[in-house]
Amino acid sequence: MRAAPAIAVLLIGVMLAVAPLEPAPVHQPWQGPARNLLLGADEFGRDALLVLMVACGRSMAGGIVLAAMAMAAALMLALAMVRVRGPTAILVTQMMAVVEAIPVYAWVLIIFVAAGDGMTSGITVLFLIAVTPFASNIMRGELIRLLDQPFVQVARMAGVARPLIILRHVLPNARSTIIPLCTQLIGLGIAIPGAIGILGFTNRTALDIGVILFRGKENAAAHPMLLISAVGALMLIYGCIMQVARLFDRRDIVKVAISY
Amino acid sequence: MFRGVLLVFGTAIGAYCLAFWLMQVLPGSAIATLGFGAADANVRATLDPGQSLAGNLADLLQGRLGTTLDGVPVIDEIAAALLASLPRMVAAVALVLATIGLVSTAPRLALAGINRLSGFLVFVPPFVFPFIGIIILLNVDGIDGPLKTIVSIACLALPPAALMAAQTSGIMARYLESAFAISCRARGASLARQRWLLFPAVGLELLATLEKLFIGLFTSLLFVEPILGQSGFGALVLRAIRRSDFDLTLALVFLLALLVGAGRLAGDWSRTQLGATAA
Repeated sequence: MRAAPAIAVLLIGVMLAVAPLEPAPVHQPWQGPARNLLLGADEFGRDALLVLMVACGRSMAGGIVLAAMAMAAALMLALAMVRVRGPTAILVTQMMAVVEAIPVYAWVLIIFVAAGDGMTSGITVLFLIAVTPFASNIMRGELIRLLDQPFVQVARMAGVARPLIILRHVLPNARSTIIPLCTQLIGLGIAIPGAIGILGFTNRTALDIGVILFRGKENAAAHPMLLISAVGALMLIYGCIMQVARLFDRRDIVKVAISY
Repeated sequence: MFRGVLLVFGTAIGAYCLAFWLMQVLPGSAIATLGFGAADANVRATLDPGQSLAGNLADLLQGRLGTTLDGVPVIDEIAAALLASLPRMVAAVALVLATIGLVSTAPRLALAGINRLSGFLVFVPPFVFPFIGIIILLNVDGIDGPLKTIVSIACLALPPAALMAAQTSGIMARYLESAFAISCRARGASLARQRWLLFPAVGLELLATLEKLFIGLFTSLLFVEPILGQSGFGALVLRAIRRSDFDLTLALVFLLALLVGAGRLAGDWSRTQLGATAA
């Protein structure tokens, strides 16, 4: 199975996220690599590899949870919007266009700064605000297309209840849209804390991939390994997610409208 | 066309109102941690949400965008930033167009591979590329060396170019399987001739994603300039958000929404024109 290594990497990441690991500052700051310290130590004297692995695991698990919540919210909104027709539908579409008018990352940063410190737990809220409109718009299009298909009309004529039609016939057939969208949302979910970390607001000792990238950039000239390993780890995570997504759907994810 | 312009303007006003509401209603403390809390708190204290939105909108419609926290007129700041970013953006757009041209002429068997690679590059967050740029610069001639501009243009162009490459390869692969292309091949047309005949249709489909190209470019700008330490539009957006500079952030949101909307409008308009010509 070609995706086995990717699945293994993702599973290790999730396990690292839930494990009660807190890398301790037991080494010299910027200690060089050794057999028991493969990437050396960071500026706080922590094992750089362990810090990176835990940060990646937490970012990834956070991205998956955020994506799941955004998908649920987008699905509910899309189902509600399918029923709305006429001028109300135009109004709702226009309201979504307002949110989509500027890049998702810009909204996220605006909300983060406007909302302040409490947003560490509120990243979920800002992610939902920034992402739900475009996700529900894509899902709405697919649901409308499927609800007009002959097999749905036959089920309707046979007296099958609408929720059952959606659950049994529409959602399974919307897989080719839902899976790439979900993959994209997981990617965004991982990237958003990273983007916030780049702002430099969060605690420098935080186990967050964005903070590591920020610190890596600051120390790039003297200690480039931190930045190189963080970028490499991020690319590995995204590669694995993409590989695993291909298991569920052979369609390319770029066929879904990309929204930054 | 007039309806489209109105719609774009309405959307930009909507984005302005939403940003205003977010910055007014959500009482932040992240700004205070940066040391700009006092100035921001003073601005907030003097504003009444209902009235100030109306007042701000009236000012906006009269072209008055206010001043930054440093007392500089917002319009001057934005103009200077846009001028600084413009050469890099033009070069990035040229790179994106070159990518579209290259992918359009790529061998048929390579199209699937290009689609896969560019799909991955689209999927990776745009802030990763400037960090890769830093790593490259460190290994070549230092972070502030003469290669910095070239690397920043490449980092700026990479996400939108990847998006366009993914779209172009997908569309071209589909068209090469179409009945039209098959009949061209049957009549002895070379691969280059087939591409040449198919290119207008591919271009028409690509125009639909012009808005995405704009969004991709601005998102890249948001990260490339601050990370590589260059001044310009992206650095200004991040600085405005970081300092919670009220007038500047609102003006930038409005401008961004207008530019993205203009991209969408330009795409729709060119599609209509080219479609009519093709027909």
